[in-house]
Amino acid sequence: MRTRSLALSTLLALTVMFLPINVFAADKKEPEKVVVAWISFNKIPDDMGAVDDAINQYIQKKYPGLNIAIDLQLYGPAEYNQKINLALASGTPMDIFDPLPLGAFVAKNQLLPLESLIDKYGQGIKKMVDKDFGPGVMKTTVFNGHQYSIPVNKGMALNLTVVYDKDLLALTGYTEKDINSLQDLPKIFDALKQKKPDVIPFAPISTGDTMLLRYLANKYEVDTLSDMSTMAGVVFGNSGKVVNLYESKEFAEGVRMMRDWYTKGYLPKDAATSQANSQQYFGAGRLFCTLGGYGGNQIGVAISQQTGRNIGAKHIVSFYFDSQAVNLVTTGIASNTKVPEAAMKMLNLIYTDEFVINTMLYGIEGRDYIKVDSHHWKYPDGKDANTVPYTASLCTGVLGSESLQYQPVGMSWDDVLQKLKDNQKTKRSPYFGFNFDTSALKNEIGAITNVYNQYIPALICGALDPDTTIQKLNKALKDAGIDRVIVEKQKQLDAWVKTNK
Amino acid sequence: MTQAKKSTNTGPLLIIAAPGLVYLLINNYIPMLGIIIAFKNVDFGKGILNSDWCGLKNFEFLFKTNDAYIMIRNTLLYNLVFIILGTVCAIMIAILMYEVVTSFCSKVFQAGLILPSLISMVVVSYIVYAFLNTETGFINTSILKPLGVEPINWYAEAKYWPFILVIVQIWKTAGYSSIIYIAAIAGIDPSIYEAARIDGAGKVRQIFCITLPQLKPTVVIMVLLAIGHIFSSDFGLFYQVPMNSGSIYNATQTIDTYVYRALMQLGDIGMSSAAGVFQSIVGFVLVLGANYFVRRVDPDSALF
Repeated sequence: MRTRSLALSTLLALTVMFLPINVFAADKKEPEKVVVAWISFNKIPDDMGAVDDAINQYIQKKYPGLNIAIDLQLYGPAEYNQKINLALASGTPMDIFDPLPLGAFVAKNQLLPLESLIDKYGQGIKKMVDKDFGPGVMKTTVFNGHQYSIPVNKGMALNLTVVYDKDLLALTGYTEKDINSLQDLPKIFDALKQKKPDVIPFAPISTGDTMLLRYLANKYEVDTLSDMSTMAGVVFGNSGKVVNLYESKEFAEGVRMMRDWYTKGYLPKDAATSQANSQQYFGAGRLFCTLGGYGGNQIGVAISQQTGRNIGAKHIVSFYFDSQAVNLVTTGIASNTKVPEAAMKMLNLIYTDEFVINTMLYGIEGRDYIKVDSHHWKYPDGKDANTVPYTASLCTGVLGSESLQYQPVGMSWDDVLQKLKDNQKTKRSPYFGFNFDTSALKNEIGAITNVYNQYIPALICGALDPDTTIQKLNKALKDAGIDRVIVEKQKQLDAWVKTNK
Repeated sequence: MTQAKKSTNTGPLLIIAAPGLVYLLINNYIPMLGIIIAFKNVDFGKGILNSDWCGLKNFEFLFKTNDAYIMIRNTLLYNLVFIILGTVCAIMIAILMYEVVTSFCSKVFQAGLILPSLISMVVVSYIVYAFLNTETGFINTSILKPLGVEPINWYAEAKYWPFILVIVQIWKTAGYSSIIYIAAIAGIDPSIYEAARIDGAGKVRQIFCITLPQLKPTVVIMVLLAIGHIFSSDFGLFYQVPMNSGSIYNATQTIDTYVYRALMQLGDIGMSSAAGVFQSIVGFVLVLGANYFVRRVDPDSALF
């Protein structure tokens, strides 16, 4: 009897121990706390308290009237979307974040419309973006008449660039001046194959993507109508007519060229599925060139540093701005935020205040980075990205204004200015600012995405015979409902043109 | 004469079971309320509970497309083959394992059997890649080339994939499933085997007349449980192993991969919940139906 009651009470005690203990921490800070969640491509620091404090003290000193404080949260790219979705669905405080893809968050009503807040507290943002980008850029994040987020203020013109190994080019006897378009490359490939038969002349920049579609879109001035992922329903130039890109002769020609390259051995046989990316091939000295979209002129330098080879870059086709080119990376405020005005004030600082954005990126001056001159920084002696307590140095492209960010020593400041100039110079689609509302067509878009994944990577890597496959592709697209998507896009486009011209 | 009523005091037993039951309730039963997500047009501005109902609209995308037939056919057929072939292989392995007498050997084999199931599908997909990749894969360079056969682009031809996926799945799971059968065989009374040996039955006869009939209840239970998942598939097997190659979708697209691919851009949780609800409800109905059928044929073997 005694042992039994002892056992009973032990079991009860154990059960109670595991009951959830509710500690309600109600923290009411005097300054309104704004939670900023953003992506870091660096190692996630263990402790952001020091950086938070540095920024908060600065804000108290310089802008006492604002009464706001920051709470920084950094997440790696793989888990960022999950953490964001979790926070939004569960109501955990998260006020400022980067919605990727923008359309999905708008459709789920998770972003706060910003127009009135920008007018009250965000005038600095408007001035900054207009200065660096040219007017009208804020239109690209307008859906159904509401401004849902703000584009990240940086060089957006990702010009189509041939990235090549300079040493291998020297072997062929050709020079950089000979690379002016994709059509110039085959003769260089032939020369290379004779000298070095086991170097791959051309590889996709990432799995299944030779950038052919981007090349066609930029060369023929195609507005993808907020559909860069499947390009179902596009407009050529200013024709105003929505068509199926995959039925166009430009697409057929492009695919035939890739097929030709594939059969001649310029592309690796497993281009469509290989998981090895171009950087790995470059590093091993096994790749001659690839096609990518990069801003500025320094990408050759950057890739050379990462791969240890001598890499050059030649810009062959200029970028073409459609809405999605610009609204790919934007920052917004969560629709369930408790502190909308404080969030907008904070966002205003992030876009316009040099100290705030550079502390967010590089940490505390002296401890995490050393300022070399007015525009450059470097790591303290003996430290690097993995050993400083805080750094987010690879994240310059996801938040704030590039014109205020410090550059690492070695990257020229002129290049930043060049990128911003490119922003102003790059040709804009006449439909810049149009965003497609997908809510009525989710089934079709899901089916089209599957068809795209089934045929396009293999087609643009030349692995399938174009003549038979393009037919199959278009039939599958029709079955998936691309005609309905085109009709709907045309309707929305016509309505937008009427209200915006 | 009155029979003394034997009162089994279940109090302590319930207390022992309490944490587990509470966990089951919180983790498995309460979330079932989330089924409503599949019938709603989720709008986070209003919150999940206040979003509009939309009837069966979220289920349409599974059936309206031409891909629907392919993905449902693939899911069902692959699962049927896995159940049948998987059970046969697991029983074969179990019978063979029973014959291993040396303790050392049997431990080595047991570890070796379980090892494949512990390897993540992502790693497995790269092992397969090492075999099948066009330029440097083992099969193309060391088997086909010496025979003078043209290298095959495995990741572009759909017709090989039913075989490849079945082989990978059996390799991965047969060892683990055989454990249950090994335990069942160990539970068979050895005197039956002795009697059969005395009567002159050989090994094969013993297997077919004693082992297999004795395993019948276990097989029925395992198959019934597997039928509950017949509309689901191992995402890793159908997405990672084919290296997400589009050209072979006809042979590798299942409901789970279709939903993942279709909704990665849209992020619509109503539609993805609808797919999950569909799979679960069909599985549930099939388990009930199969159990009913088994109960009619052989009442002792039924699950419930």
